[in-house]
Amino acid sequence: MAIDNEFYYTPSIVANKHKLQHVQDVASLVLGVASGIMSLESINGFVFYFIGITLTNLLFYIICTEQQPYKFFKNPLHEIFIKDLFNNISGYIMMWCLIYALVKTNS
Amino acid sequence: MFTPDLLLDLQLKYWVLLPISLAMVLVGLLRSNITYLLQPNPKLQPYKQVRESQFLFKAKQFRENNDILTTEEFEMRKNYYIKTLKSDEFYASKPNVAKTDEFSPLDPTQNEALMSMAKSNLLNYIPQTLIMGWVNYFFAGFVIMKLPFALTDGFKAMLQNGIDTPNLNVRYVSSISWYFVNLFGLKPIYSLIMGNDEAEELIKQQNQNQMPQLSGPGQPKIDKIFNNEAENIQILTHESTFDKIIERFIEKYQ
Repeated sequence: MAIDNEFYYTPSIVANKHKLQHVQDVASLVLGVASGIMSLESINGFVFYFIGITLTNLLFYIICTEQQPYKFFKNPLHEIFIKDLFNNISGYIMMWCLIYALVKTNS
Repeated sequence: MFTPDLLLDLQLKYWVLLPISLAMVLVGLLRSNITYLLQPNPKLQPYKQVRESQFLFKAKQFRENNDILTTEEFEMRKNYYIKTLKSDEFYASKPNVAKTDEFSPLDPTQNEALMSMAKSNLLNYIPQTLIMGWVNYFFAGFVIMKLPFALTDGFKAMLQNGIDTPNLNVRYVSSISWYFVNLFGLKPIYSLIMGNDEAEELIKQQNQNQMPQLSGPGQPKIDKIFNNEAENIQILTHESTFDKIIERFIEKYQ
C-alpha cells in the first residue's frame, strides 16, 4: 500500500519526534557518564560518542520503528541518524566533563 | 604537556561544580514555571469574528476535500459557497465601515503580543546574566577542573578568566567555562524533567494554529479574502472518488 506524503498527521509526527529526542537525550547523558567513568580523553571521547549514539539510533530504528520508519517519520534516515547528532553532543560533553572531573580528582 | 599536572582540591567538586549545576537546573525550572504563569489567558473573540474565520475555514476544507462528494452534492455545495462568500452574510464588520483601520502601535491587541514577547525575552536573558554574574563574582580566580579534551590556545583568555598564568595548559579551566558547558548541556536534562508537558503543549499549539487568523495588521481586507476563496471554488475541477469505484475495486481484488 502506497502511503502518500499528504496523509501524515502532523501531531503524530511531532510526538514521534519527541520520542526519538527523548531516547537520544537519555543516550547522550548515559554515554557521557560512561565515558567519564572510563576517563576517555580528547578524540577518543568524541569517537565514543559518535559510535554510541549511532548504535542507539540503530537500535531505535530496528526496535521502535519495527524497520518500517516511513510509517512514523517523513524523512527517517536523515531524522534518526544525522539531524540531531551535533545538537545532542552538548549534553554528552557536560556529563563527560562532570564525571571526568569527579573521577580524576578522587584518584 | 608543557606544565606538570596540577593537583586539584577534592572539595572543589562539592563546593563549586555541583552547586553551579544545581543552581542552573533550579533556575531553569523556575523560569519555565514563571513563563507558564505569565502566559496570558487567551481572550474570547467577538462571536462574529469567530464565525467569519470559521466559515472561511469551512470553505477551505470544502475546497481541499471535495473529492469525497458525489457530483450532485458537489454542485450544490459549490453554488452555496460561491453565493455566500460573495454576499456579506458572514462578515464580522461591514467592509465600508472598517476601511480606516491602519496599524497603530497603541492598538491593544498588538500591544499585548509585544508585551508577551518582551516578557519571554526578558525571562530568557535576566536569569542567565544573573547566574553568570554570580559565577564570575563568587567563584572567581581559581582553577576548578580539568577538561577531558584539549582546546586551542585561542580559548585561553575566555576559559581561564581570572587566572594570570601564561603557560598553564588550556585543559585546566575556571568556573566560567563550567558555566558555559552547563548552559549548552542542560537542555537534555530540562527536557527529561519536563518533557511530557512540553510535547502536549506543542500538540495543542499545533491544533490552535490551524485556525486562520484574520485580525493581523498586514492582512488584506476580509472581503478580498472571501472573494478570492469564491473564485478558487469557482475554478475547482471536481473529481469524485466514487467515480468508477466498482471497476477499481474489482480490478484490485481480482
